[in-house]
Amino acid sequence: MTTTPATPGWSRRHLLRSGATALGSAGVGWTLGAALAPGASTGATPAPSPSGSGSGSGLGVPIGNEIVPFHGAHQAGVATPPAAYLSLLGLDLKKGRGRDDLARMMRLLSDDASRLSTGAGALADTEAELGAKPASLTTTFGFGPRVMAMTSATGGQVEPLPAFGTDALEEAWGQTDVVIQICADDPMTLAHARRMLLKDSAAFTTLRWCQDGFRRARGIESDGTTPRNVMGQVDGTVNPAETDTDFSELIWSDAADFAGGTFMVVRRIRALMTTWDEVDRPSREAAVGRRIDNGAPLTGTNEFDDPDFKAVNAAGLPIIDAASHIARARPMTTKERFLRRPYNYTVTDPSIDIGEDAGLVFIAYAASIPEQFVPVQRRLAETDLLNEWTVAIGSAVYAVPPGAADGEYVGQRIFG
Amino acid sequence: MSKLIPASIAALAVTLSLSACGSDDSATDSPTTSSSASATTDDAAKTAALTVVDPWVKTAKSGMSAVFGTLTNSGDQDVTVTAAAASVADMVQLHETTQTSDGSSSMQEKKDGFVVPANGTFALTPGGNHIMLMELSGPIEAGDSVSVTLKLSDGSTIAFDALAKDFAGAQESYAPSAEASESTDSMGSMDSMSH
Amino acid sequence: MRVSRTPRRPQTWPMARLRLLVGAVILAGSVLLGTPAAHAHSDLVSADPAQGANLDAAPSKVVLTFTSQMKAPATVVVTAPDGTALVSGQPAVSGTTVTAALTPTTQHGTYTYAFRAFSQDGHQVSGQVSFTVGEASAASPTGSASASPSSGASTTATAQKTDTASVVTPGDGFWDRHWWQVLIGALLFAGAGAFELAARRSPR
Repeated sequence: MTTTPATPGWSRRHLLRSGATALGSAGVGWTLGAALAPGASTGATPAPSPSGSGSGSGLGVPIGNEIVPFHGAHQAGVATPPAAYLSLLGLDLKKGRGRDDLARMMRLLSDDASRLSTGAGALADTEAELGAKPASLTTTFGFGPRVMAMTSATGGQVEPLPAFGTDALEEAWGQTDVVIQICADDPMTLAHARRMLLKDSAAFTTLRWCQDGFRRARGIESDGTTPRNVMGQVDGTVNPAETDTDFSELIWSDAADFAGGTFMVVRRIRALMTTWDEVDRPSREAAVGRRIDNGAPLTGTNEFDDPDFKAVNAAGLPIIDAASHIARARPMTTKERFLRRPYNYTVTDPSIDIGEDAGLVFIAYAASIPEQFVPVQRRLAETDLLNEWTVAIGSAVYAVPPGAADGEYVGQRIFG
Repeated sequence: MSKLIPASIAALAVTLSLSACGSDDSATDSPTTSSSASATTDDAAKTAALTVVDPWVKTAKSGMSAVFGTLTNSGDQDVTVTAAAASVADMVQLHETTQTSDGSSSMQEKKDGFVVPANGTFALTPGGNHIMLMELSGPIEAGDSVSVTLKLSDGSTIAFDALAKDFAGAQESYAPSAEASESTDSMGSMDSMSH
Repeated sequence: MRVSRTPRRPQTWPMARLRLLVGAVILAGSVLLGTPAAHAHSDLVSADPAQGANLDAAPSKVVLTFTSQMKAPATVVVTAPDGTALVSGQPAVSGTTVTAALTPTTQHGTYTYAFRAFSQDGHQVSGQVSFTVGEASAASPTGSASASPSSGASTTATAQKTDTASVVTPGDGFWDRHWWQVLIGALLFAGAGAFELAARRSPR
């Protein structure tokens, strides 16, 4: 075939060839795109976020200036609204330290907490300016079984939790002598308070662990919006409220020598995100018993609809699976209720394939851990579809003494 | 003589009103530490006006330590603190901190005492004026409550308690006073001040 | 030999282009087929009694077999012709099988059973089956087990594709999810091929 001179412009053949190339390339591109697009089977559209600009604070008081009083019948940080950030310190008494040391330590730490709660510097505070915005700072003190056994407060004695088959507990996150729960709506205020408390406890204790956590920053959502955990679930819908008539009875001790105190459970629960990633939305919702988009029970439409555990679908299957988390966690008696006040944690870790370890710093308060919390935890350990993706790696219990009156320190009645 | 009676009545009236104000102030200023000033003499005008707000003391194993806080004068006359005493220390001095020629700070006794201005304050802070505790009779441990007594120019005294706190700062060098002191041995070691 | 100034000889151009096209198709196909499908997928392999089966007597148990290892607990609800529930006790889960024991009954008529089970890695699969005992049923008997999708999570808006309990070769329901993507890709390549052929046939 002889070469023919190229015709000017686009010949028909050229045009058709171009079309072929175009379609062929499109075919390759389309295929690659479809193959590589993530989550082809998740079809759910993100739910519209609840309305509310989340101004948060009351009339006119800027969030940073809000104060939660330190002194009172109960320690702050239990029934008071959970602030955005948490730092939970687990401390062990140094060798040879006893009740007298605890008294002196608590005098110092209470003094620090009291001053910092107002936005004033602590005594000997080298960076008082960092605490100028109290941002609803709360400091809550608790004592482990070993420490409570040193006291004669019979109403404040606390027992360790029984072992649960689903746990994989690590001593590094285990029971300590003292716990300090620091919460604030501002991370700088929190860091400053933590530093002051660590400085003043250093003479008496060593730090075993620090569990930092977060919820939504104040003002991002309307105050009181039920938070979500790192697994994406609306978490905390069913929770005792101070306005409930039996709140006091459920949360506060009425023992003669411990009235106004409470008891605290701390469990570090790791979320197994690598395998959670593999599960589609319907299966996730079946495991929890609630919709992910708005937290409604599968038998309802809105978050606060009561779940109907007896309801069955057209095929006769229970709509909320009997093994789902909310079916197993629900109270079987009115006593099996407690106040949950958890925070999410995320710790980046290059040694993990997904780069981070995430989960929940689960904190709960009850007037009686054995009667209120243990039966529920036992039921969950026995069966809970959610267990596939959660594992407790730390566990501890504490007695939280009553609040300190003006001029008093927390624990004065039991250590003094 | 005729002027003395109205003057005394006036002084008494002022005294009573000031003592009432003074005790209220001290209660609200320090919620958890006991820092109230108590008058111990009849001439309560000056003493009732002086309170010590937010007092604290550095912990020390032995030797020396220092007391800090804010001397607050709610009266309309200057108050001068001439001396101080503490059961935990055999010798107590009022100290000021000055800049030395080489740029570091050094502390020395303030012989003319602390003058707290009328309706004003006098701060005792690390790196500034403070009450020096010397020849400690025992360790001051974190959380201890140390009793301190201030002596005023009119002879009256004011007592307060200072909370002991661990503190890494306030490590100045000590400059001996120009006059020879009776207790030259009392200069002691600086070990207690450094960590 | 005289060096030709033209970069390529005209005869090889169409062949090169064709090879390119074929290669692209092969490449695209292998990428698509080679993409690992999402894990956590379990489908029903067989149900016994099967959908539409006609038995002489009521079965003593219902046995469901899945494509992957399952975990307890599972839920099986069996309804007799008169509407009573027939499952006694918790279904047994062992390996890829879920077995539910039935309380004995002599009823004739149409029975239905529904199941919800979870694979080891937490994936939910559910379905519904009906069969008859004693009389020829109106439902068309099929040789293989099939079930209609159940609304296990009834209020969820998303399609319950993964609930389809149809007989499937272990392939994880790939075609269910990707058929439309394959169709479009195939149409694009077919179109390209048609254009190429037309180009060749074109006189100029």
